[in-house]
Amino acid sequence: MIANTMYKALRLPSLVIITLFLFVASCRNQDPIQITDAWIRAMPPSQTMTAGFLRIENTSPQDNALVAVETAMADTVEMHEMVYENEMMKMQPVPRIAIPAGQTAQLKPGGYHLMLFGLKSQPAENDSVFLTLYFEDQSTRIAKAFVRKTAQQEPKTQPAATE
Amino acid sequence: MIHFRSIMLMLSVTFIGGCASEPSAPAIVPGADIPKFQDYGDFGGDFQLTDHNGEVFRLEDQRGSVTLIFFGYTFCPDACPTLMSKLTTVFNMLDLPEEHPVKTLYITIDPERDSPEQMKEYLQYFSTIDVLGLTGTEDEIDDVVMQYGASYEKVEGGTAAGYLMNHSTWLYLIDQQGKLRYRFRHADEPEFVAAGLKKIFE
Ligand SMILES: [Cu+2]
Repeated sequence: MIANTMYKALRLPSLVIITLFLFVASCRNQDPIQITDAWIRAMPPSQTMTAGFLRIENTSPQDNALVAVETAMADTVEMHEMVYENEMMKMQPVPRIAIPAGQTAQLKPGGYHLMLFGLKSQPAENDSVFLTLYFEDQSTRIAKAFVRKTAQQEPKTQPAATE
Repeated sequence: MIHFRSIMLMLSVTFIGGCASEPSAPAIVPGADIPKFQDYGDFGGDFQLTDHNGEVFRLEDQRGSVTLIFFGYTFCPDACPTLMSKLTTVFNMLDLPEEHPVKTLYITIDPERDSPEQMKEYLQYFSTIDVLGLTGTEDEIDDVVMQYGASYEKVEGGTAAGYLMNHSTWLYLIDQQGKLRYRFRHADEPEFVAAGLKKIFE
């Protein structure tokens, strides 16, 4: 009998807690723009610029685009693309990087990337840097980028991880 | 004049060839993924530039060792570290004995920004392989670019960088006699490059 009462007494608050948890969890996932794998390339001391990379997933039914980026550590941030055409490599600024509904924009070595010019300090490996990202739908996000020398995923010829 | 014409012909031939065979699907047939060495005629050959230690560099002093050459610029934060990590993979695959040295040369097409000191700092920071940076006057660089059928163009404005350089991405394989034997494409897999190096020592 006692156990039963306790069970009843516990049931209500735990239901509330579960409901609250689900609510909070769903709130968290509500942001249709998900930013992952943000990193900045570490550079030797005399370089005044570097590159930045990240993945932006758009889970909403609306198309979006990255239109500008700012950071306290650099004077200017440009969005660039790398184009390989007829064995030529072209790096050129772009005004926007499209993130169509339900798709992911990948900023990675050899493709789209950020260029940070006029570095105010030299980012050291394992430091982190905050990037402010401006989107076409007028929204803004802040991403934390880690400073690394090379991409985490090296060319596909690396031996497969033993997992 | 004949020299110039043969270069133009070569260029157009490689251009057509390039279009037909791209994109190269991963080879399935064993043995199909070994580079076929070619006769590049007048392309390639000796040159003299300044290395990243400020010393005179002559390709003819490299006789007896195999040389890889690529063109780039240190202001490019992206392609060059990528190529260097690819070459690291290549050399790890090969595990070449000491009597088979391979020298990698990185020739800048941006001598305005790439002083020997600049190249040295950049290469020592990024490279995990033995690579020597080469620079020179614009004329000296242009001669080597022409000689190897490489190309570049300066694109000014539109960026806080002041200017950016578009450049060809060939990786040249030079044999022990200083002769150009193969041009790898940017998209060639490390296995393919490794196969080319292995073949040249056979
Ligand atoms: Cu760029």
